[in-house]
Amino acid sequence: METALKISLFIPCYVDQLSPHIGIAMVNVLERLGHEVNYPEGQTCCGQPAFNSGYFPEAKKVADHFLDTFADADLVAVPSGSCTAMIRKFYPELYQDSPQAKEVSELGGRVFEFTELLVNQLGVTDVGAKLNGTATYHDGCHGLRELGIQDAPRKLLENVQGLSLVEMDEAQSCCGFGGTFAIKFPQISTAMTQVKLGSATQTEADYLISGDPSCLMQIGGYFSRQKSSIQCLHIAEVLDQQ
Amino acid sequence: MSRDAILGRVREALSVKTDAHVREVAKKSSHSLPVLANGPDGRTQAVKEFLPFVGESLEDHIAAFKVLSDKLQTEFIVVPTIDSARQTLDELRQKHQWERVGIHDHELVQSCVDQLPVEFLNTSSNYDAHALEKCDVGISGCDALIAQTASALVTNHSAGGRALSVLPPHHVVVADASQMVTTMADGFAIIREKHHEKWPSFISFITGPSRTADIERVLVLGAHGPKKLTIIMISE
Amino acid sequence: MSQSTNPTSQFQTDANRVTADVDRRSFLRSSLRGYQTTRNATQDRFLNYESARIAAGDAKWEAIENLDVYLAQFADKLEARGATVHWCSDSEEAREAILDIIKQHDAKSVIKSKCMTTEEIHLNDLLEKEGFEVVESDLGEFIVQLRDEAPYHFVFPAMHLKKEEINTLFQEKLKSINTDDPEELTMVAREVLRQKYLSADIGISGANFGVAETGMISITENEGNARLTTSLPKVHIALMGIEKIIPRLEDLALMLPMLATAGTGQHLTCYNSQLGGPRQDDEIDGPVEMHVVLLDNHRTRLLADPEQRDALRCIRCGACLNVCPIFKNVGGHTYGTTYQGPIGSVITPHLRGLKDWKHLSHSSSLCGACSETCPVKIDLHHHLLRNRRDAAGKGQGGLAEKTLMLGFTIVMRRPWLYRLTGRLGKLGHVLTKPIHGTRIDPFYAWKKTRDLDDPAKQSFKQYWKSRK
Repeated sequence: METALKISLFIPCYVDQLSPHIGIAMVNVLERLGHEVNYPEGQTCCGQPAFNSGYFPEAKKVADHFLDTFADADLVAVPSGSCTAMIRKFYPELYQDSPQAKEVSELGGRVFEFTELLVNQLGVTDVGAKLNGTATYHDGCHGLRELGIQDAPRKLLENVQGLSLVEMDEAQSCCGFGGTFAIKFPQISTAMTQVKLGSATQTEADYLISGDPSCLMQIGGYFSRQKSSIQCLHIAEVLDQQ
Repeated sequence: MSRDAILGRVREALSVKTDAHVREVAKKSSHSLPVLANGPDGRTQAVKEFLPFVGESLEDHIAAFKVLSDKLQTEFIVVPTIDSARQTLDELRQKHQWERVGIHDHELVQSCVDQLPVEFLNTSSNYDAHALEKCDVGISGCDALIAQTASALVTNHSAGGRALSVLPPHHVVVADASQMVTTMADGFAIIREKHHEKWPSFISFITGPSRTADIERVLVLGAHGPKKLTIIMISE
Repeated sequence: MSQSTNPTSQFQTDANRVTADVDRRSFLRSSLRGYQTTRNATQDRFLNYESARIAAGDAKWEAIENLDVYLAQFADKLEARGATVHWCSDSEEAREAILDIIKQHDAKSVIKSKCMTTEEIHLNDLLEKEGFEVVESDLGEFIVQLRDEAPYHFVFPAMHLKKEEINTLFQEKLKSINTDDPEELTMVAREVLRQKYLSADIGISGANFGVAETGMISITENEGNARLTTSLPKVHIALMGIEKIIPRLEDLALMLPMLATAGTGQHLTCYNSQLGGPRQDDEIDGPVEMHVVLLDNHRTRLLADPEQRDALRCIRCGACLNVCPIFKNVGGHTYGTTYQGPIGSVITPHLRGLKDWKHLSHSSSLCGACSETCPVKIDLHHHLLRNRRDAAGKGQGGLAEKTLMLGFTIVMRRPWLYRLTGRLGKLGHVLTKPIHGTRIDPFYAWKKTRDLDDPAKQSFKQYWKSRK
């Protein structure tokens, strides 16, 4: 057994409000692996909604709050590639010429998306999970292209007992969420998810799994409207299955 | 006046340095990569070390040229001697029923076609483009063959002007094995050496017969230029 | 295309129409999947494609960061060999310069090879209005010209059309035989255009690169139409943006394979020609005059942006369009721009005004597929974000959005207020039940096509508290 680590959780705002079960699943997995989990209670949001809309000064104010909240954290676990990318890749841009630039870049080095934390930081690829069925994995764009996360979730899923992984040909195509894009251009956003549904359906998978709750909100929302039998799950929920 | 105005605006725009972060993006990669030389040397290095590898020896180059030619539907024929090149041309003449053949004043071309029983049009002196268009084939020389890309490198000097190699429906290049080089950069070096400070007004890398895939991505040869490209290389 | 003059509503309307056309979208997707397969195979032949990208990107950085020096060198070298260089600040000047040349030669017919810059300055409209016959010779361009529409994609102009539609078009406009065989259709165009090359007085081309060192333009093509256009007519006019410069001739040995690989998936396109001047004293054919028309048209404005001058390094391969999920689902015409796709969305606000064209920067999920594929590593999707930043900074997002963002900041900086908002949200959700799914539901745009989970009974915060 590895030495127990102190891991701070960052539960993004929309996960907190809409899908707390994802956060709870992440806590369960980390604790089962013997780590000490804490939750800085002042946390709110990483600021990405403002940032992606172009409101950089506003986003920076929210980022200030994040920095205060997590200043003392050794290791931060986030169940979202997108929020992790905001902190690790885009905060440095917001703080480019500020005296906090160094602090920001150091904190970025301690914040990890859940699967990269497990595989690359904790060296775990088998968490002892069980789930029967066939699954296909959707790569969230931020995790994939901003952070280069591609192998970690697949390694973890390959070791889930009873689960077989089938790749869909549009695995790395955007699901169509993209924050306010999904509201400002709903027709394009939905068309993109329609492509995703076609691609996922072709694999005959029971589950579509992703590391990004925002993608799942989009994909799950469309799949359920289309009465697709594919169940959409966050990877933490899958790894929490015993 | 406009020149000064535009160059002035360019200079003024450049008086602000490029954002360091943006400049870095183009250099970074998530993969671990060999160290790249600075500036122009980096491009020279890239052509040598990063583009597709086609071996070192002439045999390797010929083999690579052949593989790509097949893919491109270039007819690449290696013959031992000028005599056999003559024979090959005569076979092609019979096969394709050439009657009118465009040629130019080029030593190798001339010695390969001298016995061909056809009507010639020589583009090395004033010629009529309509008559050239009626030719069944244009036969030209070249400056180099590029192994990495299966191209024939020509200029308007080595290929009898700009039109001979593109207007007739079939283009035949005759070359010597000593003209085979590895990369396009080697090709440019040859032209640089040959023409020094007086560049020809036309240089072209010809890589396969004319083609298009503009209709439903279906490959069609001979969109506007030659439907056929034959490269005859004399190996001795 | 819609007749609306407002680019934003035109974009929305056309996007509605195209996204509803499942058949056309699937046609586009399968065509681009074919491209992707070919391209991957070609890319795999490289010993190190990633490093090649960096080197290619560096060549363009060197050119752009020293553009004043290289542009002057390019023009001087060309002029020394008898070409005439025209410096044009905007579309108007470029159109005038070209029209003057044509009139001076008492020309009647003009043959063109593919050149997006002529689309940018709307050259064909002007020449036709002036009574000249203008013929596009690139097959794809020829087809869209016959249909009287703009190119759909700046590399594959007619990729949206099915062979049956081209058959109908050719029968109608060229009185051709009834065939939907791509080869026969291509031959119909070949025969029509052959005669045009031989009779045209003027040939107009673009340029993919301008070599500063030697004063040459480089043209990349597959069909041979650009070679014919620049060989047979007695006057050759090349129109190029000032950003097309590269420093040295040998740089082409890298840039040309990169352009082909990224653009079409070929290892090299069929003809890559370098043209430096008109017919020289010791040469037998070629045009007697060569004019190079250099166009600024707000490129210097983009150059003045220390971040986004990056986009001037673009070599117009079109790869970013080919991988873009937005392009694949809305198609090329929806953009309403000369340059479609991610690169078009980045540069159009600079060339034509941020206020009218910022919607293109918002109509992106910022997925980053474009930046990942760009052969010269332009930071495309982050530039879209920078355009959003600049628009918001200028207050172009509107008061409502600004207020919303202010509210967002106030709430997210105060944990107690965040908790309260969460509770109010839940309450609000219950209270607004009667309007859910209707047009006045604030989540209408979402819920029209997607379900949305109700707020959880217990938030994570509440869960954590209950755990302790």
